[in-house]
Amino acid sequence: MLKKNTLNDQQLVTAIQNGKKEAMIQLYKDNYPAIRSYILKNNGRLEDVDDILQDTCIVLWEKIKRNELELKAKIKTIAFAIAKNLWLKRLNKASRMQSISGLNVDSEKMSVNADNFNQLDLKVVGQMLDLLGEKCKAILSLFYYEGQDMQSIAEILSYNNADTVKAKKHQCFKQLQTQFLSRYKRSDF
Amino acid sequence: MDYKPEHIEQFDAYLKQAMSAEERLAFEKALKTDSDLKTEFEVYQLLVLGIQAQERAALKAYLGEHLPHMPQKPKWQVYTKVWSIAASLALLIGLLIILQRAPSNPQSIAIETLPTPPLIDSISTLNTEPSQAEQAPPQITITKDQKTLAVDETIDIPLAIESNIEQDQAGSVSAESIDDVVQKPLHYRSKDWFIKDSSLAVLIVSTDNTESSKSLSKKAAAPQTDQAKSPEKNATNKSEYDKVLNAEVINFNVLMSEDETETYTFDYKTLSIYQNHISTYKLYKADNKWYLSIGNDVFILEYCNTNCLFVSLKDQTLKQELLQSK
Repeated sequence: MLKKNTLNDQQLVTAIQNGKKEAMIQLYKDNYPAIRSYILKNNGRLEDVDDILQDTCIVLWEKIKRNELELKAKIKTIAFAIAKNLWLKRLNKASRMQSISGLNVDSEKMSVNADNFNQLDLKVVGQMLDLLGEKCKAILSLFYYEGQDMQSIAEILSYNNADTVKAKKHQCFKQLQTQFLSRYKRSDF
Repeated sequence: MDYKPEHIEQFDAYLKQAMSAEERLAFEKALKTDSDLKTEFEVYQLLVLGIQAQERAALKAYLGEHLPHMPQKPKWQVYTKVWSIAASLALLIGLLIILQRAPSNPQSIAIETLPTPPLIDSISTLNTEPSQAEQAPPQITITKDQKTLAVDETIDIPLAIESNIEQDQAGSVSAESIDDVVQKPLHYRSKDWFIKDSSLAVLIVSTDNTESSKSLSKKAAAPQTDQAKSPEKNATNKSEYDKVLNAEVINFNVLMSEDETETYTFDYKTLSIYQNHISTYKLYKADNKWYLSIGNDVFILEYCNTNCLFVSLKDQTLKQELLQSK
């Protein structure tokens, strides 16, 4: 009998921190039974399970990447709580909320928030990112998605120092901005 | 439009909450008065969201490619079978390769076996999954109409977690108020309230569902058993839940009178309590019990699940003491 190749919680966290996507598969499978049974017992259908579970894995991935997760609880417990949250949110969908946020725009007085942007625009940004080149994409993703600081990005991408990264990141963002604005006019906003 | 480099840095600082309170206020004020800056910030936000969305899409695509689909039950079984056959074949081929190479170079065995374990594992996991689902922790179901409250034991949330508040070691009735926490604003959109959280997107404060308040009221009739259970539960789970709940919002019901319950939401992150309008109530901890004060009324935490139940405090002396300690 071959040894079961499952990672424990700590190993999972390390794998995700190192960007090993295979860890996502384990996250998915480990949490499938509990989340499936929860969703089915709460007015969900089987196809919802897959959806919620995928989103749960992504939220977990992001939390771990951003170092927002301390392993005080079992990953399964955390995953369950996240899935439950996502599911309840889905059930309350009347509000037609986008599931994307991540921005810390907390003040309600701000007229700008994630809900004001449409998915299509976000897709356009995605396409433009692809045009930027791998280095730029990596820097922007590390900075804006994973929330890494300049020093860590320098280490991950083997840049000399944080200042070089800062300059490069600025250049990349500027490029993205320029491309985006060549497609949209100011009046579009 | 002219985009200034310093603006991006400013936006980054705002986004990453690296601004001081004054800087933040100044920035928010500037956004209101300077329409160019506002537009610039909107574009910035869209680009950032776009970057994030792109990453999420890539992860989803990866999951989609590497997982057998898990929808309808019949399909599921078919997939499992196909997978086992495919896996057996792969294993067989793998073994053949190993066996063929083995005599020439014994070391290659070690190398060749490496890719196979994950494959085997994925199948065994797949095969066992349906049965695992059936073995999932039993639901705590108290009464039949309590369906909405039936919760897996994994999410049985004790409210009496320490969080950032220091525990009252003296054990006396010196209640601690939680004044210094920053309150998050509630947002209102299409009939629903929600709180924005930095990490977990938007958390909707769902409105009460009559079913759960009904069962809560019933539960209140015999609260003693729950109270007795909760201390040991808290002891074992305290540290475990401490962190998870930082980004959680839970709803709870307060039994206002015989049959009247009101739903409130408790935000673990800010330790604030909200009803369906923007107002905050105070949560106290004294003598290892949690109390909630709303105006001149004090409620004691009876038990807590995904829904928590507070009931009116009968002990007038204690009530006065708590109110005065505010």
